[in-house]
Amino acid sequence: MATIRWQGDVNIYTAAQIKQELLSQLPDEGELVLELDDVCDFDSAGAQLVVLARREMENRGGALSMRNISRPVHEVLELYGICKAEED
Amino acid sequence: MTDPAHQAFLVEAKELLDDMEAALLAIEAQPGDVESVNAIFRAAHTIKGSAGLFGFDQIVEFTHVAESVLDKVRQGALAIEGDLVALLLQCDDHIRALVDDTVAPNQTLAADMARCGSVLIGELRNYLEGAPANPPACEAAADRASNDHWHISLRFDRDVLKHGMDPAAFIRYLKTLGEIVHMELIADGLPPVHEMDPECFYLGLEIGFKGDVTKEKIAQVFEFIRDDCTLHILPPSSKVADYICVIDSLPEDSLRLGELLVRIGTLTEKELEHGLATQRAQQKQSRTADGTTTLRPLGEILVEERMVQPEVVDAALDKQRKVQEGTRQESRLIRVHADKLDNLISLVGELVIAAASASLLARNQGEVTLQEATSTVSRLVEEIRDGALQLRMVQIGETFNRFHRVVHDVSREINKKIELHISGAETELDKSVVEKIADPLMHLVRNAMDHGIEAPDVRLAKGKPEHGTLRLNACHDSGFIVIEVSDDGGGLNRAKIMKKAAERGLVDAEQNLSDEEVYQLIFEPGFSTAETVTNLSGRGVGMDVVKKNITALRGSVEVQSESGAGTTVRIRLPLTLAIIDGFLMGVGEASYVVPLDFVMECVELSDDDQRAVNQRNYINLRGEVLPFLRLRDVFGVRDHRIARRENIIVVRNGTQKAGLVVDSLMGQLQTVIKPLGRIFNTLEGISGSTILGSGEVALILDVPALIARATSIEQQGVVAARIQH
Repeated sequence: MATIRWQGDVNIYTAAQIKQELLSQLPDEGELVLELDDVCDFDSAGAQLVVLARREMENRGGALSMRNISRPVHEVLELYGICKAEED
Repeated sequence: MTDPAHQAFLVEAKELLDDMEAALLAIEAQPGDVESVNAIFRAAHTIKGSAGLFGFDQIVEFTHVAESVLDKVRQGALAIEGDLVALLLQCDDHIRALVDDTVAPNQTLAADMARCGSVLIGELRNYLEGAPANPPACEAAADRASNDHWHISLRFDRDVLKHGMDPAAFIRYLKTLGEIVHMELIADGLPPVHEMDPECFYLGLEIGFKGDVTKEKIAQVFEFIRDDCTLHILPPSSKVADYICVIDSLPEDSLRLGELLVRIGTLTEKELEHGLATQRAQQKQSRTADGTTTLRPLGEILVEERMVQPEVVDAALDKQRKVQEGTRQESRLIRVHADKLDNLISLVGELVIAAASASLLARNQGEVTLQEATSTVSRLVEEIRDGALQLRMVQIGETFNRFHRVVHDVSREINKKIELHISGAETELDKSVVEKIADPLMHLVRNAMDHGIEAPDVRLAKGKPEHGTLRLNACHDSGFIVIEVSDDGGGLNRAKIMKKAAERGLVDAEQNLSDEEVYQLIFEPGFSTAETVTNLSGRGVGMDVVKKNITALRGSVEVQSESGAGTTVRIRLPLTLAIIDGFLMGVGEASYVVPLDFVMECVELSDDDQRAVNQRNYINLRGEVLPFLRLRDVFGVRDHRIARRENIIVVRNGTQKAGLVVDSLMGQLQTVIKPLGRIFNTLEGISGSTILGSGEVALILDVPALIARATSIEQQGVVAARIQH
């Protein structure tokens, strides 16, 4: 199980850098946990990265889970139906 | 404080709300006016859009309901009448309050506003009931899908994020119009991880949406992103074939999309099956018929899309046109901060004094060329002065127009029918005067409505038209602006006023007063002959404050009335408070200035007159009795010089005339009024001071006060003479 912590801004301005880091940190199998409590700005580019991460993990036979979703992240993810209102 | 963008929103919103209010009032008078209806709708719609951009959800939600009602009106499904207009005016006020609240959100008011808002929304919804969002399908049920929600399909261009758009913002806005019942995120377009560019956007959306909307409204949500996406909107219970068409036109696999739509609930399994089968059959048919493939359903949906687009295109063109017109108008006007203008005027004032000083010195010098130069300077300074003062002039029409709303609301409140007629709206006056005259005018208007104009049945009984008329008029009269508030009501009751005044000891019951003098009594503090006190007027606190405000502006007010016919209140105000043209006079060693507007003529006293001056307090001016005041006596000027020929200046205030006896006449001058300090407030007869070119201080006379004094002294003399006989 691997944990990646995203902090600060996860948006169009930081997407390129975060994707790079994500790529290098993706585990080959098992569970990837995204720690999101420190993320303060999150937009569609960020949501796309989450979708990307989830797909990659599923392709590797693993899974993606998100922990401590901060409010800005939750708002956008809920907008896209990536997570429901009741999830953590 | 507020950032520039927010500031721009506030300014725009205010203008739009003013437009909306004006249009609402206009449309009540002329219900068929299509242009007004459109203007009202446009205003509400634009405010909603702008508020949405800023995330002011409360404003968006409220305006949306109002807009829905206005849309019905626009479509002809709802008629405009008094109650609806009143409700919409209240909504206008509520939106104003919401907009103001965005500057400094006030928690304590929030609950009140929310309550007020929901009451209004409730009333608005009453007008919305009964109209189906879409006409019921008349075709066979099997051909139409059985869903009850809109289906919105979105595929975004790769570069949408790079163009500065965030699809999330639009989905957010869409949610304010209704409810997303189900949404499917389509990540099919997401390339393999190494090729994927995180700054591009590859996701698509299929949305099931429920809301009180039209297709155009949904399209408008995505107006700004239209160029960066492919948008399909299908109304509830569309033909199954239409859904299939959309599926076909999308890049993903048809079956997969079909399954998605089933998952969202837009189609049932059966409908999907049936639809796909039908389409395949149709395609087979068309291919065999003439060997060539006919226009694919894809073409059909595009054509349909093109038919939908004209409305959206028109709206876009309309907006463009308006923006162009707007910029054209804006470039002719400049917004200037009022303080900057005041500073400029102040400097010009100093310039006037300095130029006068230079002129005086030049005159004393005797050097001709220098005198010419300073004369030129003086002339230019005068022109600058006039120009600067012109900057401060605003048309009174803006103030007058506010009363349309007041008359509308108040006449409804007190159940009287009253029309407002405005004339002379282009008449200009000083900005500061306009601000200070608004309150007195308000009081006079309310007074006229409350006590002047009679109830409709009373009017009819008197043989008058049912509609009372309230007139606001403004015009210039030699350096003054005259504002009239007149009504065709019952007029003032002279007897009643005299009685009340006698009760209060203001007048002698037997005193012989002219009508005008009697009417002036209503300006005494605490005076009111109203039988019923309303929350507008009748408490007697109003009229004396009105007079005080007007006097503070160096103006005067008179009342004309005819029993049964109506009343006119006439206010005279000087055009400017800052710089005046005056006439300089000398009394002993002191100098006094009379504002030129009051001066009628200057006469040297003849020997006869001189004698008269020493004995009586009036002279015979070409057969007319002219009361006068000797300024030397009034102001207690001590002068050891022996009496020589004096001069008299005849001044006039409205219809009253008086003379001011002085030693010397020193000619015209233009000068800046400097207010006296507060300790001089009780000084009668002086309204300000100024600095002459020589550096000396001259006092500016309060002519109306002096005339009143001269007249009353003269009257007392007459009474005394009468008693002696």
